Amino acid sequence: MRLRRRRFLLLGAGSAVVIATGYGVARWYRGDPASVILAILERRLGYLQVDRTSFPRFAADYLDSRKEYRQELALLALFSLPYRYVTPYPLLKQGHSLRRLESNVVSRYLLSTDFFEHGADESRSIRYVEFHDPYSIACRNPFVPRPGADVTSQAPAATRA
Amino acid sequence: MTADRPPALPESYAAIVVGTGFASSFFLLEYLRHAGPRARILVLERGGRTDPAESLKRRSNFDLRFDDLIVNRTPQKPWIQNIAFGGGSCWTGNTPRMHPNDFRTKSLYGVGVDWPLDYDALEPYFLRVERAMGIAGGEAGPYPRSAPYPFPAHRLNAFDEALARKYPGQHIALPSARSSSVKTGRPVCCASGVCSVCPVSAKFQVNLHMADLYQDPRITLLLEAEVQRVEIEGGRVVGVQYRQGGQELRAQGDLVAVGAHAIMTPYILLRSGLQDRALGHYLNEQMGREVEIELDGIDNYGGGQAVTGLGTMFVDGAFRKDRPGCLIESWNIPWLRAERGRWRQRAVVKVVFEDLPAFDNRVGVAAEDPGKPEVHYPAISPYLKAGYDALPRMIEELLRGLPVESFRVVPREGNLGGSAHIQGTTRMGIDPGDSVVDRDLRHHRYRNLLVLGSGTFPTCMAANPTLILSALSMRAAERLFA
Repeated sequence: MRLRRRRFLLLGAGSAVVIATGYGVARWYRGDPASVILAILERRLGYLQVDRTSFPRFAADYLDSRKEYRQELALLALFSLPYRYVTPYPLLKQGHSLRRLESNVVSRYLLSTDFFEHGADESRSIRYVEFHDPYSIACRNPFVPRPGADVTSQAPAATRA
Repeated sequence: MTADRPPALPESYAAIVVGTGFASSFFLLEYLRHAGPRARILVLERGGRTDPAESLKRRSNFDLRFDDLIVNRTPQKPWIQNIAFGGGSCWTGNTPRMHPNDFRTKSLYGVGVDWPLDYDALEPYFLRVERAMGIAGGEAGPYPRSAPYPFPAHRLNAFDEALARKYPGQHIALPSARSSSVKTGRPVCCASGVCSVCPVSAKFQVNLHMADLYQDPRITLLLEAEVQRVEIEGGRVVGVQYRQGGQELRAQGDLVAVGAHAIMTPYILLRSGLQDRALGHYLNEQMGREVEIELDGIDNYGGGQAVTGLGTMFVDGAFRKDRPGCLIESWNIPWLRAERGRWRQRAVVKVVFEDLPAFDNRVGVAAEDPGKPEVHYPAISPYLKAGYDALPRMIEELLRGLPVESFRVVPREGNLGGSAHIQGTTRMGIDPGDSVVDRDLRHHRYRNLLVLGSGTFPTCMAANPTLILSALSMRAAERLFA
């Protein structure tokens, strides 16, 4: 009786592990890397007056620019739901890959908007302009002096390459 | 004409120039000032013209992949070089000068070798090249000047300003060929941060801003013409052999100046039968390490160009007898933080180290494929390693007293890295036993053969090479007519 019960429990635990592993692998295989990007944007920028319909568009462009990280992001997608609310960022050392990921996503998104062109005013509605890619659209650095500020230092307006 | 030599072009030229990069172009600029109206100059460039719009789309300035053109015996050390009309313009436009003591490290610190000329001999040519390129700069720092920069310095960013307050006269605006004024004839730099393919042509480039030079009626420019060797007869250089359009051809000339960069130039000369002991040896380039800094309360990135500040506080000193000097480049390309309200509180610096050239780092002719140079660079030097080891302490000292939260020296993983400043393989010197050319860039033995470019640098000082090699070229051309 005891042996049959033990065997049953072991079988049950083993099945659970197999099922969980299979689920994890399946999620990874079909994991949507964009979900991690969206989670980071929601968590980090959700307090801003930002057009959330821009998030999926940005996520697609971001992933396109980082094809080499697709697999890692697909794995991280397993945790995209908790990532919306908490990340290990404050516990991680400077330079850790997960910190860099959040910095890269937030940096690229904010530079793709007009947020800094209006003095980083959090109360203002932020317009998503275009995915920030200096090779495609030049002179979009929002921190460079603009034309009119100084005749000898007139940076050209943003231009499409 | 012998049966096994390719046919010669009908003309004999006063000068044949190999390459169209900065070294060759500034040589030509000065040469044409002195040459008579009937002088004929042939210029042979291996690459072709690049279209700026296509370059931007491709994110590169070249058609020929440099890796395919060499046999790299030590693939852990990559080499970056563009082959195209104008030299491929892979440079970002930084133009610091050499420190006066860089010319005499052997005398002062017992390391390296002394240059056969000094800062004062080159200073007038620094000025002329800076004027020609429309360099933006401000304070001289430790680099003495006899005249101000032709155009005003770009704005520093906030981190630079903090460093400049801590290190007055030592942390200065980086002088650069990225335009700071429309009076250069170019748009003003807008710090897009993609300088190698500058999208607005603010950066001085030979193919764009010296193209008129090659329209001079005295010049015949042949593109996609690969020089194979220099021809030598009776103790003189008499011309070159080159390949174009599948044909083997020759050109005859009274003077040959080779400026095909520090890997191809020694390769061409080795294939020509030159046997100088130093030829091809002492291959080197500066090595850089990045440091990421998280600031505490400083909103950064307000500078006017992609690289804004130049830290010279560690470029020279008695320590150079044990470890290398370095420049601190302060980068201004926005890379924001994720934390609310602290987005701009970050800085990135690149520490550019000098090195001691080693004889065994070299360029040769690949035995299995003589149509390519082979390149050897087995390891970084102990001198450079001492610099890397001292780097964390140096950064602590640099940042002490500044509002900094933390810093991180980015580890070097995988390959040895590089800076696209290939140097040393045709070094200048007084002793023909350990150098290839003299102070006028003339070959010690074949006096009508000039060797141009950073291959002639006998040391690997912490300074971007383009301004220096351009000044040397101008001086060499002027000296021909002295």
